[in-house]
Amino acid sequence: MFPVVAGGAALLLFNSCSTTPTAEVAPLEIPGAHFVGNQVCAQCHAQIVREFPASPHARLVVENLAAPAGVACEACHGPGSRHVADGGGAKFIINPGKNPDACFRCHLQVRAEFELPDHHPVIEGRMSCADCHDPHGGDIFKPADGGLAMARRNENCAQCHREQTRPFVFEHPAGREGCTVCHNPHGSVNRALLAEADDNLCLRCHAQTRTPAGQIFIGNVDHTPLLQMGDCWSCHTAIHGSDADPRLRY
Amino acid sequence: MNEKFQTPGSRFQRSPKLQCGSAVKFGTWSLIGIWILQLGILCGASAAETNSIPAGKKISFNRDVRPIFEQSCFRCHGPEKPHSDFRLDLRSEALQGGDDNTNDIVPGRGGQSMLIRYVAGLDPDIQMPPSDAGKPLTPAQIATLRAWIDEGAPWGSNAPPPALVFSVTPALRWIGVHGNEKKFRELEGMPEGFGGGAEYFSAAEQISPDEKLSIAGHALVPENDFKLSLALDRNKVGFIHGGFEEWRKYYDDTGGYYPGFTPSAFLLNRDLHLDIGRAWVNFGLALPHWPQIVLGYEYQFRRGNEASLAWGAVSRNGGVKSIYPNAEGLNEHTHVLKLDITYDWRGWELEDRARGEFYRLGESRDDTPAFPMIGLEQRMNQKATYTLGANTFHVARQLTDWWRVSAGGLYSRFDGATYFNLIGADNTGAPIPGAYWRTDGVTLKRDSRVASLATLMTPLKGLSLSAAGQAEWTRERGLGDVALDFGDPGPVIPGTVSANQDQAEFSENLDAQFNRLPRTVVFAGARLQQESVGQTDAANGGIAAYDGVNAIGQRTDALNHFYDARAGFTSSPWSWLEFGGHCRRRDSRTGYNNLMAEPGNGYPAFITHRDIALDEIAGHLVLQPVFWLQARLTYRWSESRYSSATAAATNFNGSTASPGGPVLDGRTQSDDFGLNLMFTPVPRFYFSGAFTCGYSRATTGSAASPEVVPYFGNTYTITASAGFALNAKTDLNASYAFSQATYGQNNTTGLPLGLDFTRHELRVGLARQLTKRLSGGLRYQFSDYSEPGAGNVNNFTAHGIFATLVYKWP
Repeated sequence: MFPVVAGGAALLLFNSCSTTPTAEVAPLEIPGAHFVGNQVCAQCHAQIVREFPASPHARLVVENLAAPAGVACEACHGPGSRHVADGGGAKFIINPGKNPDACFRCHLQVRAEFELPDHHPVIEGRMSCADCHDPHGGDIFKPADGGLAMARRNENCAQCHREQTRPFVFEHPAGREGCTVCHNPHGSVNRALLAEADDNLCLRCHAQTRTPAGQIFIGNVDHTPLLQMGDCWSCHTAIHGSDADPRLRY
Repeated sequence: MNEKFQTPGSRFQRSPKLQCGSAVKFGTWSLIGIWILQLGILCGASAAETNSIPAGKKISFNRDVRPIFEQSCFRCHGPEKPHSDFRLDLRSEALQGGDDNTNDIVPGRGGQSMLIRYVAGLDPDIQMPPSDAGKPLTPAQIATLRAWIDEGAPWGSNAPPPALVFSVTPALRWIGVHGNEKKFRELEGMPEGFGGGAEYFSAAEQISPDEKLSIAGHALVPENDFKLSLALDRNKVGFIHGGFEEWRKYYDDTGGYYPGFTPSAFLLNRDLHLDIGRAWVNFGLALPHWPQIVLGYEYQFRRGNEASLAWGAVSRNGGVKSIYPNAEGLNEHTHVLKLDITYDWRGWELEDRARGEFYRLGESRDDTPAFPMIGLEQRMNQKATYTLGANTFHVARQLTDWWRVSAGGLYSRFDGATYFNLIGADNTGAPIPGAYWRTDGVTLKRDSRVASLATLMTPLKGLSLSAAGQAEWTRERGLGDVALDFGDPGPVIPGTVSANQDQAEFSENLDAQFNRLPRTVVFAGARLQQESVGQTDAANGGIAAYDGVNAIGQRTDALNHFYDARAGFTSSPWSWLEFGGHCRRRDSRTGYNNLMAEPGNGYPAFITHRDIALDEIAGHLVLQPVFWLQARLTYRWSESRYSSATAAATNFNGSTASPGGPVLDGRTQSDDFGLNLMFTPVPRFYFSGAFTCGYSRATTGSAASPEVVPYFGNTYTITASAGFALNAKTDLNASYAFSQATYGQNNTTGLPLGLDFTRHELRVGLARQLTKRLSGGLRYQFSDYSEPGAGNVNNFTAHGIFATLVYKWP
């Protein structure tokens, strides 16, 4: 047993000095370009490279000796030698902010969600992943140009969905848990990116009690006949909040 | 994907792999070479005597010099943000010198040119390239530069790039749809029939060595898909960027489906769509050594009619179901002014972003609710306007190589007003005199103040630690008058609505990752949050009269504790294998202290505690047994539990509605599996495919009730694409997309709302290079969609032919 374990450990250590890029960093290629490493990127993109170790994306590189200081930047942006030789610019570098294919190499499930009937128009090119996510900073759930250290609640969604995220006299407290408590942000089989298309969506938070007679009380109102009619938001149409009705019907 | 950039599945060759240790050997010989060269220069020897350039050989800029600049110089002394204001991509700029010298290159006098001193290491203060920016030049490269300058530093006859570059891609298509065309255009984003335009166009002109004008965009009809972006850039001065874009989002008009009714679904066939777009202009100032300033304006709009989820009620055989399709008119305009200033001042990274937003919204909708408040139909109009001012300041500094700190602050103020008007109508749609419910201007205010502090440390090689804290204080106020009238003759019932909310929130974030284990990264992180909310809501008169009381009001203090923690690893023991995973737990617990409850002790005041907990486990495995094959597998399991603690609640008539106590409100579970495959068995062929399968199930405390059946099903997606290079001029390509959801429900007491569909999309085409500048493409597309869960009213089959030409100049 010991020789097997020792052999395995030795193999691991030996391979840790391998010169071959890991499977994780290999895929993106730019014809004629080779990896240059983060230190070269830092010459022009110093701020991003300094912040990057805090990013979840910094885990992409295990160890790579092909370039002097790792190839973390180039794992997503492709090998940078031609970009450098061209003096910068967009011509010879991959920008996942413009084309999400680089993101989808790892985020397979997200790519599939964008195939569902209701989805944010990312694969159509009308939005980019960076509109909602900061790929370089410590908080991936923050828009890329936010100046604060951490994301504020729902600020990604509020950039476009102003009417739903503005203050209301009578707000739906679910908003405090975040928009994603009801909506699947990338895509859903249901309209309006809802996690569920029926009353299960609402009732999972709205405590209900069932009487021996089969009535379903939500608070002090018997909702049984209302639930039989269909979804909750056919009556509670102002589901994000209302300035007129505490019951959020309008 | 842009054809320049290829995945391993492409037919282009992979980039060469560098060898371990080569840099060390190279550097050693370089140093020896430089030392020899220094001796040569110091001894006054000519360049030809100290290097390998054959005597009499003429230096070519493009062949001999430019590759050296590309490898070692352009990254800092290229057209974008040249260090020391010294550019080597243009002869005039290079001869002019940088901030420090005017003799960087002295034509005919290599020995007096500072460039040679810098690259040869002869200057005691400056070494080029700097040691942390790249490898030193080889003796041969230095000698080449010296010889080139000695020859007068000629730039070559073909150095200037073409002044004008443009391309245009005209496109024409025809699509025929059999079935629900409204559903087709909602899913595909384009209507049936002929369409086309310019799928892409771009032009760029180098007006002068420092000025560049570029235009790009597309224009496609009849889906009103337009984009035009313009950019004028001038080096060392700034830029003007502007543009306009618009696209159309289509909606079908079907509503719900209930098999027990005749008809079981309604197709109104209205032309429902929203036109969404924006126009923008940004003026940027980019003077060397000055703050970077961007002053911008953006106008965003959404206008048209969108399908509404508030479906109308339909009565049949004594039953009522909300399935009648509905739509909402939307007219939304936002003007945004912005001013961004960034400046690096003595190691301090300073950034300030100011925003001003001016928002206007008009909404309208006709409803036929099951329980109308006034009349049988109700016509709703709502307007909202607001102004929002916000300023964010951020400062960061790299204190040491391993320690970085940053701080930020935000202040924002929201001032808004909303107007709501609901008019009652009879069953013919005619307004009922005096039947209305309206607010005469509700004012809304919100003030937010945020402060944050963050640090990032890499105290040991391979270890990074980051921590952040953020505090936010928000105050909201809402107040307005309302009036309700059930119709003439009858009194107007006046009233007021009001709300006050004060919120304090503190968040902390901690993350650590370590990558010095053999080819392994381990990571852990947590976000914690504490929030207190004091909230008072009240509605006196007005709508409260409809609910049978004089006033509705509540006063609640809520205290929330939240955490989201995860830990995991990624390992790649061999170059052909990588695997990893993480586990995560998220919990949000809120306690409610209901200081004042509405009459009847009703909802939501009877909830005293809520807990939402999530557990998640995810893993991935990547295999690349040979360079032309890569497989990636992913799996994720998650479960969320929603529970409450309640107080006893009584019905309006005094009977018990809830005995109180803990309640498990709901539970959701999901499993997701994914497989991605890319392979290029021969250079002329590539294949890329992905398969995902997801299962989810949502149940509530009422799962045993026939009205609320569990919501569960599977989602499957397949995306696959393949290409084959038939010959040097012709490519064949094909793609296939499949998606399916099985959330259909057998719910006859309630309303079956789960989606149950199957969708196929097949595309086959060819692309051919017709002439040096002209290429063309032809594609056939087949689409099929069936939705038995909606009684097949949304089904369609479509065929499409797409033709494109691409012309590029030069």
